[in-house]
Amino acid sequence: MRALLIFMVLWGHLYAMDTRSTLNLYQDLLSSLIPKKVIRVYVPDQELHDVFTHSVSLIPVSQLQEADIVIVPNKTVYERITSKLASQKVSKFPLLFATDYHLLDKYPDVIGALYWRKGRSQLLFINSRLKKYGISLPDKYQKYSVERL
Amino acid sequence: MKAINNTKYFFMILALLIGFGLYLQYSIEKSTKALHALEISKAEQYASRIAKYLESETNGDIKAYLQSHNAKRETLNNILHAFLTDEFRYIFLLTKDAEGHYRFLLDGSLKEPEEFNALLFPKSPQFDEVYRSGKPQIVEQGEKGVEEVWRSLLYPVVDKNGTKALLVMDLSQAYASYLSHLNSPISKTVTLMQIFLLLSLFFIGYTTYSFYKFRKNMMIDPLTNAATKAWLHEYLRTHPLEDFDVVLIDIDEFKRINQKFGYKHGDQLLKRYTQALYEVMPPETKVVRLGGTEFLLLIPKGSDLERILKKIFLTLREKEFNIANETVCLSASMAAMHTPEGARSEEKILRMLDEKMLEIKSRGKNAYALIGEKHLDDLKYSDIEFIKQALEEERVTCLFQPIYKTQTKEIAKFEALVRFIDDEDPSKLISPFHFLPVIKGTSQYIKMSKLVLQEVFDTLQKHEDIEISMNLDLTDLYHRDMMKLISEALHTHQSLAERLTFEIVEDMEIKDYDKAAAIFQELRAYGSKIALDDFGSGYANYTYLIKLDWDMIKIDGSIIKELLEKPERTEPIVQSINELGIYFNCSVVAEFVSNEEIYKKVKEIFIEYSQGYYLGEPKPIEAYLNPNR
Repeated sequence: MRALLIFMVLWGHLYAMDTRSTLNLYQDLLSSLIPKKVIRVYVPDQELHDVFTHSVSLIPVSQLQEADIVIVPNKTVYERITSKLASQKVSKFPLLFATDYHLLDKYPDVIGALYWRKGRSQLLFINSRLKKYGISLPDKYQKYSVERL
Repeated sequence: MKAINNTKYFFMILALLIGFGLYLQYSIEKSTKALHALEISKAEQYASRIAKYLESETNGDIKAYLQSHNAKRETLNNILHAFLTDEFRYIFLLTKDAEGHYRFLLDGSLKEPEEFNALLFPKSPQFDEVYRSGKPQIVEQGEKGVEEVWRSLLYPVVDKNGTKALLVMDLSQAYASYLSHLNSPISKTVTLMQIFLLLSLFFIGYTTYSFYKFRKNMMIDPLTNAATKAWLHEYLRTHPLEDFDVVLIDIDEFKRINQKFGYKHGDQLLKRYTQALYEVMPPETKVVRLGGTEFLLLIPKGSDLERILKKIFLTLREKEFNIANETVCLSASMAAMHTPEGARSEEKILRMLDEKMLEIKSRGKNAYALIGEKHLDDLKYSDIEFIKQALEEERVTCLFQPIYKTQTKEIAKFEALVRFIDDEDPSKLISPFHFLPVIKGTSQYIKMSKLVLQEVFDTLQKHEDIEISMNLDLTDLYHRDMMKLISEALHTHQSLAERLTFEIVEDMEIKDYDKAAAIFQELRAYGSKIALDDFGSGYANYTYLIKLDWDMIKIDGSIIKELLEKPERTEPIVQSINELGIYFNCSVVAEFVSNEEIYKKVKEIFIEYSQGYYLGEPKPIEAYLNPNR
């Protein structure tokens, strides 16, 4: 019984560490893109949504029009979101940030992406798109921005 | 000594176990590293061949060629794919663009292959190093942001203008696990052995800790913090007793303290008394609580023991202790001694101190005493080992005290008196007072008697005109072996036996007169005579004269001595004994004639024979037979 309890505590601890690491990465990254104390994020991906619930600076929102940024996981979600935004005629479009390289490649309104390539996590921004939104990256992210894909 | 040795062995075993555990760990890690190195070496060979092949297939300008030859790119991707075994997770070819970003030229993955010219941000700075230096390197992955990759082999494709591309072969994490798994039975065995060693270490450590804890409890008295008797025994194994003077202290009437204040306060008082003792005794002194209220001090030799003893005695006697709101003074009795050289047995020393302590207590307690030289002699000469050795080496001799005809002062006979010869100083003869009580009733006593008989007969044989008497305890005659020894000696020296008188001394009253009479008869059968020794003292009384036949009566020295002190009462008694002797046809001897006055008195009473220091001390027979020599 004690062994089981120890196992559960350790597993829980490791899980918490992983969650904390992902959250820290997004907190740092998104606050570099949006200079606000509290950033409202629309996260269709449930797993990532759960991670964001532990943050005080990133607030997951359920209404698209309330979001400062949308984390786009795939093409379907992208299409649903863009059509919804177009239909709602919102005054200010949220930023789009992808978790897939191909979305960044295909859709010019996606400013950057965080994805995996050959077992390595990759962060990528396209300079022209950042410029369009008036975003200036801090130095530590400069090396991940390119002129073209 | 034993404890020190045990500690040494314990640490040796501990060191061996730790060494063995570390060796096992080192061996298994070395073996795993060797396995990994082998696989990496194989990967390097593959990389080298692939790089050469790519160069040959792309005519030197690899980037431009692959950009313009889609079909060839497909073919080469397939070739790279052919190398994607369990060992390699990814194989791909990168090049640097004008901005210094890495872009894919080839990718061996069939599932989700990277497009030509797609970007890659490698995590490790070694990519740039290899690109710059043109020398292959192994990159340890396992860093944050890299998954499923164990190590990456970076192999540069180089031409005369420098590095054109970078072949990356990612060794899979799964394969690393597989390699480690190859060693896992050994590794598991090693781990189990290490667990076993760890448990053994723990067990040995715990046992040793328990042993030392137990030993400490055994060695230190928890109440007073003084050492215990067990400690004393062990300490004296490595520290000769002869290096210390000893003091035995016993608090007087402590039972009354316990009765009055209870055991709890009694214990407190004992504790404070011991503290006071520590304060007054010289440095380096060891305090041993022998039990109850008895303490033994071991004081290193070289100081004035009598002065120390007095100081301890007076300080402790005057010390006031506060207990249960009352002021209490304790008195103690103390016996001390300079331990003689060569003293080994603490039992002997303690026995002597105990005897002295008993003496002090019987004189009214609350006193101290230093044991003198005489007691020290007793300590040495009453040691059974000393006695055994003396008998073994036949260091036994007889002195002869003359018995004179009182009226004429002529020597009538001699009394043989046994002495041991000191082993260190042969001129020193040891009185039977020291050794007789120790060996009485033992085989050593018979051995001694045999030697005495031998010397007596040798003397009789050598000097044909003398008679000798020797002491025999009545209980000796009841002893079958002793009687056999005497009978055999008398039988062997029949011609000498009639010049021998047995003086019967006894420690116990004769009850079986018939048996005694039979023994006397057996002795007389060879012509020997029987004397009643110490008549008038102890058990040697008139009943003996009634029940048994005697050839001689020796009046005890304690009566003869009184001839001077109380002549009016003693003279009639001595006269009556003399008359009884005449009546029973027995010779009468006055013992203890130690001065001229006594001799004159004895002569006046007409005692036939006289013996004593005034007439002649115990000496070698030659001193009396050849006085001029």
